Amino acid sequence: MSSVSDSTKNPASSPSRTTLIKYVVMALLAFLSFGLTGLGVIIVMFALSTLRAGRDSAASHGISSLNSSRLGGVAIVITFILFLIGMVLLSSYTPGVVRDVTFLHLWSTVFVCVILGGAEDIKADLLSPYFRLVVKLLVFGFFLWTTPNVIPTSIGVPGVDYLLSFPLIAWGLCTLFCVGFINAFNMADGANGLIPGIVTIAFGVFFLEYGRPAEGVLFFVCLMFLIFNVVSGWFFLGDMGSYGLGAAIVCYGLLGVAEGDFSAGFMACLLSYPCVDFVASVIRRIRKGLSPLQADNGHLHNRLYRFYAQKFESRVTPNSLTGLTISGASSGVCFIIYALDWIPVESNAWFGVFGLQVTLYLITLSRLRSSQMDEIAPMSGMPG
Amino acid sequence: MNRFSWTLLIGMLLMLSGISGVSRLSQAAISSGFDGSVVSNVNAPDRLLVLGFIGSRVASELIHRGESTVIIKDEDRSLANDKINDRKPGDVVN
Repeated sequence: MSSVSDSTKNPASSPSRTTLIKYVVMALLAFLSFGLTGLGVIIVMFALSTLRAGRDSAASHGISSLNSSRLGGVAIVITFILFLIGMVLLSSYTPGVVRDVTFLHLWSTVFVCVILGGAEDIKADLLSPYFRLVVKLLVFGFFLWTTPNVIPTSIGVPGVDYLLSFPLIAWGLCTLFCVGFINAFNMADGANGLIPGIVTIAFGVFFLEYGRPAEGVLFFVCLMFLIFNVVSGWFFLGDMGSYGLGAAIVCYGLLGVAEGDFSAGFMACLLSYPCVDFVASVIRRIRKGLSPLQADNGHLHNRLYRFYAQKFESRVTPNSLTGLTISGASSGVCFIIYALDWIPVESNAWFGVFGLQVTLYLITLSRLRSSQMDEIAPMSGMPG
Repeated sequence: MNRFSWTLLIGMLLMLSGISGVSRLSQAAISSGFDGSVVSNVNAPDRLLVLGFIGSRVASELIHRGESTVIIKDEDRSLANDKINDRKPGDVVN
């Protein structure tokens, strides 16, 4: 394994005072939340962040100005698998893939998405965007065809419910939704703690609702990644992380809605930012005559970052504040309402909260756009 | 071994200590017949050291939820004194 050695790339070589403070803060947060186990995960993530493989230059990011690693997804996968193996060997735990064929199909789908993203992290543009899109359509199409119990028959929206009553149309709609959601997740992964924050909250809700070990481990690993990502800014989810976690969440979400554990409105609220930002970005690009999937710097997180960057001199603080503000104001608010039990998770009243989130998104975007009034330069190769 | 390997090894050993800690708690809960002593003891110092404040509560929740579905191995069965709803080994799995 070769690791980066010079001090500009590797904070471990000759750590500055700021770097030392970051070590202490990360270690303290990890230790307080998950003890020595959390500290172990942070150490593994630190080791992986120093590898030469999967490194990104600052110029390739829309927001981050640090050289960093895209192997965050690899770290999450390694930690998750290590925990599952340990639990199988040391305790009475039987993984879901063994006890239930639905989970076998679900995790196989997630696994394919992880591999697809991993290939892109190891070598950029190894697979063409169209190839990845086709593979995602095929894998989700196969998953939903072989596991029809994951497809909801009703989501509480009259027109959509009518369409979902036709199995073939329901299958097609759900396949498109899953692929679109993963792309939305990948597109929104543009600021420290944004997608990691949303994912941590989502798995926290799944764990509180179902109490299964897999969700508990994912919540734990994502929280550790969130701490590392927000404090240091050295480590990103990469395509492996955003594809894999996006696939896991969309599958769990669909299953939860299909089984009546959650309302579709609740899931929309919980995952509002990636979905709303994706739709808003596609509309913005079409209105400008660009390709709907052409990367640009017009996302809410890009604009909020510019707002914070004027107020802080640090390179990491505005980036992390952007991610935490958006994840906290979208999924965080949803989690607080859920935890305080103000609205039952099966209620369609969550659509009202989702409507408020969309309104807040549009108002904030409009205010930031009018205050910044700068040109949005299209950037090719930017992740978000 | 270089620094990368040592760092990775230390990290993984610490992670394994956590898995082992949760496993021991689960074993203790089965042995005590799920009397609630393990689940409620979230602030024990040794437990906080290995699992932390959130981890200790997550472990309790896992044990609490697993109570109705966990496999009871034969060797644990005698310790549990058949307190757990008369389930046989392998009745229901989680």
